[in-house]
Amino acid sequence: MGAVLSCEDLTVSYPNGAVPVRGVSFSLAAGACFALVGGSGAGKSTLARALSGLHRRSTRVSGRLMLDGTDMSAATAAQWRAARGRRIGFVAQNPWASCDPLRQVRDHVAEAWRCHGCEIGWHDIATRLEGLGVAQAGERMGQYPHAWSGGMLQRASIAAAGAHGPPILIADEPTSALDADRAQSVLEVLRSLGAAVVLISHDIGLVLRNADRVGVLHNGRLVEEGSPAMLTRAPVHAETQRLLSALAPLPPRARPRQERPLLRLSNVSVCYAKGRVTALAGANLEIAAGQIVGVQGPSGCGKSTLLRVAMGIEPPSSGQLWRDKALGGAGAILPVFQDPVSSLVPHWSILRSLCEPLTVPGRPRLPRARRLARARAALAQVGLGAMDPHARPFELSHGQCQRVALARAILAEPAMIVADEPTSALDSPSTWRVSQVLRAAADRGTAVLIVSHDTAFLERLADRVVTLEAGQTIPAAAP
Amino acid sequence: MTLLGLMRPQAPRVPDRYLMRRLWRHPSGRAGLLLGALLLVFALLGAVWTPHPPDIPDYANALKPPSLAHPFGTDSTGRDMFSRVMDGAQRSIGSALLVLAAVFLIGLAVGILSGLARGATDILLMRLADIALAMPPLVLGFAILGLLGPGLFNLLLAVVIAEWAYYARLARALSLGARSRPHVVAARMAGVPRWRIIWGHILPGVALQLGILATLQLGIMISVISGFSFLGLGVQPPHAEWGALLSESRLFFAIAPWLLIAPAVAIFLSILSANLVGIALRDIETPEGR
Amino acid sequence: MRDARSPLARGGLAAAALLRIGQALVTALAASVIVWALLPLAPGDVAERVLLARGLQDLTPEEIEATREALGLNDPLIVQLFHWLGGVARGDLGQSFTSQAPVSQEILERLPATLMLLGLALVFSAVLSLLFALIAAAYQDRWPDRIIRLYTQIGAAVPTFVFALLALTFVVVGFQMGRVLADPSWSAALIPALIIGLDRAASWTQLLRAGLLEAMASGYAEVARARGASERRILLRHALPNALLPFLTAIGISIGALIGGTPLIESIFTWPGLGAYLLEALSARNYPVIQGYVLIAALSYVVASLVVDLAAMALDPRLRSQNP
Repeated sequence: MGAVLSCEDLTVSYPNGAVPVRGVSFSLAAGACFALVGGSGAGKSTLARALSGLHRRSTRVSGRLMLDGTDMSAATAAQWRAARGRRIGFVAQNPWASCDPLRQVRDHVAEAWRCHGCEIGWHDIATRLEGLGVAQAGERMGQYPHAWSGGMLQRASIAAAGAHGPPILIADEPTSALDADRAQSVLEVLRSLGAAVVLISHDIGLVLRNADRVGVLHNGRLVEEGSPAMLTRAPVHAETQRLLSALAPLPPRARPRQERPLLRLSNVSVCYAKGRVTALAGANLEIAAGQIVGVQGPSGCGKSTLLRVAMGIEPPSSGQLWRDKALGGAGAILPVFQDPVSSLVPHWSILRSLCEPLTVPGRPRLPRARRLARARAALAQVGLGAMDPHARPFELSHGQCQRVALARAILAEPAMIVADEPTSALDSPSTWRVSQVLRAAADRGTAVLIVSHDTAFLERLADRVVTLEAGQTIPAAAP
Repeated sequence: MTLLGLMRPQAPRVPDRYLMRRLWRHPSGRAGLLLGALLLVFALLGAVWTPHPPDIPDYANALKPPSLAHPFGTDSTGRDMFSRVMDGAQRSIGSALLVLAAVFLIGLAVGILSGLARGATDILLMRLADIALAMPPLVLGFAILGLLGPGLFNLLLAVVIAEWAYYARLARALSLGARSRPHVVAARMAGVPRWRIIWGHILPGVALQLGILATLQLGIMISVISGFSFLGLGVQPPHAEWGALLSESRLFFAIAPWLLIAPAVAIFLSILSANLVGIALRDIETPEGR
Repeated sequence: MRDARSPLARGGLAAAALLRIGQALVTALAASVIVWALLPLAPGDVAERVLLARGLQDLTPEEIEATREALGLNDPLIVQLFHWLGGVARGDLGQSFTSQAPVSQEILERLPATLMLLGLALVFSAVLSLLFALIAAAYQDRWPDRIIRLYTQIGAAVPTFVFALLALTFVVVGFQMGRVLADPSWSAALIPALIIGLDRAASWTQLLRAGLLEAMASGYAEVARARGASERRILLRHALPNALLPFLTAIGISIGALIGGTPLIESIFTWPGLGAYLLEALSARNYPVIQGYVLIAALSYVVASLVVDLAAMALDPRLRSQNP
């Protein structure tokens, strides 16, 4: 089979002088899946936009780009517009953001036909949606996007992207807004259209399972390309090795000693709004010093409520909450929150945020130099050793903020760390780094309670994973 | 063809730690700051020195068109318009700044108290604010001036009473939101004392947002105060104020239309300077601008 | 649980509207009560002022006392308040101190003129800002956009009354367009409304342009572009409806400023509406008129923002489904 998409020496440059993509060449066979991986800022999304002609007018794209047998290197805006949707489809990252919030889901799908001057009946749309695994599509497609779940809405977006049966699909992080178990099935739906797929993802595990070929993008260059098997067997470039390191198992843990339990929740329920909303219904949880316990479950199952009960900032409506004396004092439990930016005080230097837990009354007062040294050490631990501790949060990326927030919790050496999605903004290597840091804290005797939707991360890290469903815990065996 | 650099495409933003420096780097921020500084100097100078006495009539020179001695002409009693605009600057700009400082402080205090105390205090304060907010912005001002009678002090009081509620509402919403922000919860869990959380975590953020609102409103305040004075409800004759000057000049628009120009331009420039700084602040403080 | 089109949605809209109307009435009333409570702050003797306002001179203490008794000013404030509230409930806003005619009647006589002027100005500014913002967004950073941005910058920095004064002096009078001293008729309202609309449209255009550009850069616009939709289609079918929502809210607030600015506007155009009526009352310390004006202004503001809120709810499915 011939190549449906090929580019040679593709370079993208911005008017301000930045060159986010430099001399990228690759080709894609019909029906194959080519994955582009790389850390944040590697130029993945810029490349994806250039491939579908979506770059801004002021952005310069040079090099040769062949699309389905046509040379698009010098295509006009009108030619690009005719090609988009018909010969090249696009699936974006966030399914909700991809839909006009004021229009029904069926309009969102039908728009793919209408904007090319075609008509399609509601019945056809329903059939197509059903074919992609949307149950009761006929009734549900009259709803608005905010009422749909991410996985289903992404299927609707895929149906729209495949409207005219384009031979090529560009998918920019199509699964990163979805839970892990849904990501795989959405990706399978995407492949089921039969088009060649350019898959952009930061999830190296997902890519290796699904792609036919993988390209590693680093600082705008395609530094390595090969089949998944080849890359895993013998990665050549340092960036590839760094990305793959995320898949390495953590060193096996010395069998957790039988430590004294710190916290026990038995049959805890939490109700809001005078009992009309039940967030937790009979949850059980036990955690001991030095133990790492993971909590997983679909969104809305009560994970965050469980964490708040464990932290002691949400009283249970019924059931028993027992806490060891060690958790009683101020600063004994430190949280790490999901939202990375607002975890830090916006107008403070990260140094001041980091050291704040060290300066509370009742702690021995450390001299400034000692505090600075400890802050630097904690930053180095989470892989931010080179960072200026006087930087303000707005100078940092989301991932960096998240790691600073984790460093703050580690630094104060609490009896327990409670972390809500502590890796939501991190790429795979950083996630691996965070796992190591949490493991080290647990080895020093800190209990770690983690909520995450990243099942692989939890299974690798935790001593025990608890599944939460509709406010109830389902105990699982230790890995 | 460009108005104070406004039309230039924005320079790539370099993150900077200090707000003032970021403001200075923003093209419209810099233009606004420069213009504002110029007007401030003009107003301060006008308070101590003017080329001619601003309030003393000189009937021999009434309604003279612009000349070298009187660049903006003279009014119906022969007073030099340039001197009167200069003298009026302190009242126009000064009153707006004074009102904003007052509503900023009142709003900050009431809002934070209300947001953190909750309970009966909160309900009482916010009901009061709701009532003030239920009325179109100027109507309450008119009503209070109607009761108290015209005058600069009464005008300032009226505007403060009409405006404080916006600031209090915003401050309350911000401090309520701040209570559950991750960095505040984390500090509480770490055992940081309450007053230190309020002082270090909550107050600066709320004050910054209120400060931005105040800057954005500076132009509106100048126009409100000159509007009331135009109607004769604010600054009383013989004192000069830009709105009052417009009102005096208006009577002679048929024979001396140039008299309208100077006060109108002064009002325009001062609002423009506030707006330019406001645009820059909004750009800097929205997430995309980071 | 996440169903947006539950049968409750429509009922929810009506219930929310009723709730808002109730709240609005209470606050509007409370507002005029507050103005009432401020009455003792007013300097001087009210009865004396009333008589002076009626043009009487050389007042004897007996005359003043008799007027005070007649106006009910000797009753405790709370009694006066309930008396007034009782009147309000019957549509009676008291008697004007000067003309001794019912305030409600005088307000009703002058209301049409104000509504005419404001309504026309509102239509002008809405149409102009819609037009300007669409052109600016379609030609972003090219010359039509630059010219419109220059206009919005200047317009936002010139207060409505200053702009009106200059336009009246240098354009309308200079070119003898229309009569300056106007009777309240649609044709007379045209030029003042156009002047107000042109000034208001500046800040509205800024708002709508920003909203349109934000929507044009949003995820759904990008996806529509990737499906092959033309820029014009994205602008009109996706960006415009989404940008209209925050714009509506802003218009609601702006209507308040317009109502509050009527005394200034009407003074400049010598327009015999409610604003001019208030100014007369202010110089005569005609308290019942001032109170009546506050009540009417608060009510109309409340109605305007209610209409805007309901329109936003009808437009936005997310707002509809939030109301249980």
